Amino acid sequence: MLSLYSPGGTPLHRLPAGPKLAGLLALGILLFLTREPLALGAAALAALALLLSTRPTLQALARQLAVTLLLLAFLVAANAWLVSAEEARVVGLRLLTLIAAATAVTQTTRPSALVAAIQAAFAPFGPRGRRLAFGLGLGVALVLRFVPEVLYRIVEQRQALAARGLRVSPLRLVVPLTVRLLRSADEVGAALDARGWPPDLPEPKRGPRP
Amino acid sequence: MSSTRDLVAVPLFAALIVALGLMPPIPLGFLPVPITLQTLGVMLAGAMLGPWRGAAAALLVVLLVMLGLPVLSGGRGGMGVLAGPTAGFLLGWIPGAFVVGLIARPILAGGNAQSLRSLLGLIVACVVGGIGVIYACGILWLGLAGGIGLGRAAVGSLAFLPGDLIKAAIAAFATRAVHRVYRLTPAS
Repeated sequence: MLSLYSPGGTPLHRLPAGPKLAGLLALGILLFLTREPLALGAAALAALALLLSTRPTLQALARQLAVTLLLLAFLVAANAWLVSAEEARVVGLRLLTLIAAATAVTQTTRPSALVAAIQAAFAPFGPRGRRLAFGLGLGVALVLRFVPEVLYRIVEQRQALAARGLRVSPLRLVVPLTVRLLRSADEVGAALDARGWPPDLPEPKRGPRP
Repeated sequence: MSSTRDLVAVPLFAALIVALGLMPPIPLGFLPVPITLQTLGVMLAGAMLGPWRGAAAALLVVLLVMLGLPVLSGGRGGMGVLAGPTAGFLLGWIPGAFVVGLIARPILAGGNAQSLRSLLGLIVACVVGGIGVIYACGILWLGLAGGIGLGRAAVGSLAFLPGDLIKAAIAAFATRAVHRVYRLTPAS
């Protein structure tokens, strides 16, 4: 599956994923501390400049932002009409800043680098945190592996229905699909067990597994 | 049922949630949150996998969104979505799947899972968790961060209720049918 990351060599591309995520988090908190239009306006301009500094292609921007910006425009209009122009300005600038900054991070950071940064955030929590981080990383990899598989089975199921002259309904699609998913979870689980999985985590001392 | 199998089922159902979203969304009403089958996947994950693993499957999807993968309906994704006005409806999937599982588990584990009462119970589980909890999170975020107030956000969200009620019913019927051929809870 293609990610929304686009390669490049801009300063934001070179910045490690950890600081970018932390900065985004801090921005999210700071923005809600002020209602000052000047400060919010400056933040929005800075975030837009940041986004442009990543040299995004028009196509990538349209793909990521079209729906979100439409929502934003709707919200601003609703606020201006129902509440007040001041509220509309505050909400619009806040969300625009966050959306632009977040998109800049998404544009410039590989998913694998983000996974590593999130895993690193669990490191201070000891063995349990590290196991959780391991599970999250593995989970992400497995989902990406399984999506085409599930799509293929949906197509298969539609064909099976068509071959029997049956109309496709959500129930006729979902029931056989989930039964097959659960059965293949059994198979993959057995295969992993047979290969002695999960491997020992990089942790010298670990309590007995339940 | 091995613990490894339990672990594999979580990403499989996360993949199901993603796959259901790849069908085209239907925009409805004046609130521009498009209707998709993705929340059906969230309800199924909670009902079939139980509270913890169901919530884990939803969490994985949210994580993929955060990582900038286009896993939401219409190929959306990226942290911009999590910063947008409808982020609450997405984050609500995690507690939503949990609550669906919490209510559905004892019903499936009970002796008479195929009775009409159990079916009604499953519908209640999907409505409370898959609609009540998700809407509460979504309305809270839309009303507060979006600034239009909780009342207006709630009224706007009502437009999606009919579609979501149908999805809850589908999820309940599907869970019961699957439980008939594949025991979802360990035999007691």
